[in-house]
Amino acid sequence: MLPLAKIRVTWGNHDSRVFAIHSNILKHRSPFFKTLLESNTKAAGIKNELEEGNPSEQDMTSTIEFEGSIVAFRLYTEWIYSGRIQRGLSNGEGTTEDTSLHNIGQAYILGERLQDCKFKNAIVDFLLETIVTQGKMDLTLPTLIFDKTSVSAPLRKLLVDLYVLYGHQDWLKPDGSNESTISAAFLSDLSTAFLARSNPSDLPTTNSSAFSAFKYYEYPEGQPISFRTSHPREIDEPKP
Amino acid sequence: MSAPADDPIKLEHRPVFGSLPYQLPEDNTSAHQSFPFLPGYRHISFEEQRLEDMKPLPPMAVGQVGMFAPSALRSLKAAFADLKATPGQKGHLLE
Repeated sequence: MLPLAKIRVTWGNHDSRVFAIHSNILKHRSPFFKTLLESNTKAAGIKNELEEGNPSEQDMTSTIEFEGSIVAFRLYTEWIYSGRIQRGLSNGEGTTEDTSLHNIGQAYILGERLQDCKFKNAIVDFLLETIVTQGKMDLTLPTLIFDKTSVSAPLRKLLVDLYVLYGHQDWLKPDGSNESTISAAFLSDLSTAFLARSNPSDLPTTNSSAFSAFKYYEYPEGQPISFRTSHPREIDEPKP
Repeated sequence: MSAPADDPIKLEHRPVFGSLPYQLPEDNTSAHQSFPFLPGYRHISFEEQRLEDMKPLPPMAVGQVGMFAPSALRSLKAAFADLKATPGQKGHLLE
C-alpha cells in the first residue's frame, strides 16, 4: 500500500478538513511538499506531527498542518488525481461548492505556495473559461492576486490585460463610490499597461494575438516551454 | 339659391378608421410622429435623440461584480475561442 500523507487544512473560522493524498503523487507534483515530506523540516506555519503508533506506519499517519483555502485545496486534490478542474465541486456533505472566481483565485495562490506550475497553468485556463462563460468579472480578484502572489506571477499580467483590453471604467469604482480599495500594485501595473499602449510596437494587431493563454503560463526551470496545459502526471521531457 | 342636389351628403354612419388595415394599433401612434399611418415608420427627432443620449448608462459594476460591455464580451469570446483552438496546433516552442 502506498503511503498516504494526511494534510489538515484550516481556513479562518471554518472547520478544518483532512485530506489524504498519496505522498508519492504529492512529491511528484509539488516541490513544496517534496521538500517537506523528504526532509521533515518545519516550514513557516506548517508542522509535521507524527501520530503515535507503529513506526513503520509513520508515513501513513503523519499529519501536515496547512493553512489555506479548503475549496482551493479540494480543487487541487481533484486535479492531481483526475487532471481536471471541476466546476461545482461536491464538498462531501451533499452540497456543491461554488467555484467562484474568488475561489479560483485562491486556487492559484495555493499553486504558488505549492510551487506547482502545471496547476497554475490549468487554473489560468479555468479562470479564463469561467470569465467567458459567466460574462462578468469579480472585482475583488485583482486585489486578492496582487496581495498574495509574487511580482512575477503571470496571473497578474492576465488580470491587467483583461482590464486593459476588455474592462470598463466603472470597474475601478464599484457602485459609483469615490473610494477605491483596489490594490495599489494592481493600479500601478494597470497604468503602466495603458501608457504602454501608446507605443506602436506594443500595440496588438488583433485581440486574439494579444490574448493567448500560453503567455500567462509558467514553466519551471529546465522544462520545455509548451503552448498547452498537460495532465498533472504527464512528464515533459526536454528535447535532445 | 342652391339646388337640393348640391346639399352636403349626410352619412348615416361615421367611418371607422380604427379598423382600416394601414392604421397602426393605438398604443403605437404618437402625436409627435408625422406619418403615424405608415407601418413601421418612426421618426426620431434630434431632441428625442438628445434626451435619449443624456440618460445615464447602466452601471457596469454592481457590488463587486464587473460587467463586460456587449462588444467587449463578444471580442473576449472570439479571442478565447481562438486560443482554445490554437494550443494543440502549435505544439512545443522548442520543436
